[in-house]
Amino acid sequence: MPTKTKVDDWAVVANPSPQATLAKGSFLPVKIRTEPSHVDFHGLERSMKGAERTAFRAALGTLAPTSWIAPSTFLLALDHFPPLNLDRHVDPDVVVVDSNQNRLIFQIRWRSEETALLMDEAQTAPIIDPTQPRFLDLGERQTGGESGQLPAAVEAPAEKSLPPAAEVARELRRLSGLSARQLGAIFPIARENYQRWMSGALTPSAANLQRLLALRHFVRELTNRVESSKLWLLEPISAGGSTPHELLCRGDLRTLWDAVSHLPVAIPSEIVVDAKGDHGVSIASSLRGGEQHLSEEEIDDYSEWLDDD
Amino acid sequence: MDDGLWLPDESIYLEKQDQPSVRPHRPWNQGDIFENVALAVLDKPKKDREPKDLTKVRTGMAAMLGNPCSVRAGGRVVVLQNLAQVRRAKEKEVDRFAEYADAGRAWDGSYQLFPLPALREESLYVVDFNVVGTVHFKHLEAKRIACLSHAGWTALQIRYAWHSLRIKPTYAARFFDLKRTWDELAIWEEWCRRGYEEEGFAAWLREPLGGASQYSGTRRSDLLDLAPDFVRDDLPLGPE
Repeated sequence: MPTKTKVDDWAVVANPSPQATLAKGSFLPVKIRTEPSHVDFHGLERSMKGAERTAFRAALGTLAPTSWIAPSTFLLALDHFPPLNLDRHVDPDVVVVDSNQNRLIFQIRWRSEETALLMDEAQTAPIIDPTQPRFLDLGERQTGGESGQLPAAVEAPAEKSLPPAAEVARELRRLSGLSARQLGAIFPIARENYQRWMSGALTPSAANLQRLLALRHFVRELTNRVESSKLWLLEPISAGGSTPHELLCRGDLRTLWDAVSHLPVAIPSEIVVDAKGDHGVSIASSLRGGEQHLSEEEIDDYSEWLDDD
Repeated sequence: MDDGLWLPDESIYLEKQDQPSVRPHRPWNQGDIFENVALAVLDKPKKDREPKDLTKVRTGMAAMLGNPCSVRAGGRVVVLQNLAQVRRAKEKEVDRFAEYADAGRAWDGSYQLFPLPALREESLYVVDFNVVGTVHFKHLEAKRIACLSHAGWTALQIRYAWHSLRIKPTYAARFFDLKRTWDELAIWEEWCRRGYEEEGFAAWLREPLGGASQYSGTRRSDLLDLAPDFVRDDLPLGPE
């Protein structure tokens, strides 16, 4: 179990590296919540650029304490991410210690006022679940480990700790009503592999995870607009034309967005009030419309304002 | 990120630097920040003064307000661009943000402002949506000092939507709404970096994807939602 250190004890951050896209010593926005317990990977991802971001997207990762780096410092290996055993909401700061092609080492820096609380929790609940799979740490890699390769797919985790990608694959299946075979055809992968995505036995590639998320976003919107997503996806949009599912298999999601934008919508919304008491409407669904680009002739004549030259 | 809260740090930037021009190959996008831009404001009416004599011009940083689809027409940059002033936050504004934070509603309020954490070391800077000007695009060339990240762009849109419409899209939905255009900008930037003219990208994007994949033959622009990686891989290496 890692030792939680007070802020005052913090002395492990290496010198900031201005040329690094993810500089040592930089802070990452991370939230840890109870239900479900997780680190906000999107927050982490947004802090990365270039190759690091690509590597990070390649898979979700494992938080693992390592034997040779400082206490309260964790190695994020890019494959599978277990739940964190915290039973209340905390927002630790996360500081990058080092990074390279597919590994990110960071230290969770608890705020001083939270330290006592967390120390109490630590007596009964380790931050890292020791039963979850781990991967070689950098120390092992330096002695002939994985040589910078992404780890292989891991054994399926327990039902209660499905990786986020599996949750996305399941939600897509549930909302679309399509079979695993029909969904797999979009990527394309075999039915069995889509089922492995749903079970967490197989982790989608970064590109396929992006496709899953894009599809989920679309199908979530579709369910706001039609009674049966499955029926809509399998019937031709126009007489003699392709079905939405066929368009998806060709990669054409844009045409479907354009089609959906013409459908009546029941937008999930609620009244919200800001800090000054102003009222507004929070809209939980997509606001995307059909895409039509302007032509030069439509907009470029401002001669009444501009000098001739 | 919680809806209604604000990104607290530099993750709102794709890249920023003190001097222009940041990411010179990247096409302009909403939220890009430029320096040394003159914006004009018409002061209150005064007796015996013509409106043209009441115009105050201030030069400083400014943020592009137009959506990338509105910033261009026919693939070319529109002549007149709208920008909002970027200025130092006033002391009372900083205090107000602190009050919101103390109330557990960080940055929730003062929606006419879009905070720019760490844009400059010496002070908090903000985009002020109430001070908006129109400039010829030539005034912006080679003056960009910061580009927003996908997350920062999403947050800017949410902020601006509340300011102008009192509508607050949820963060996740808006993030994915913008993803297609975000990926298009990234591919477009690479197109320019490889030596092609910015204006030529739109025509290339309308052509079908090459190669022998499942998606081959589909128009590249139609693939941007689902398969931007295939579109990017289809980029030509560069002009001979």
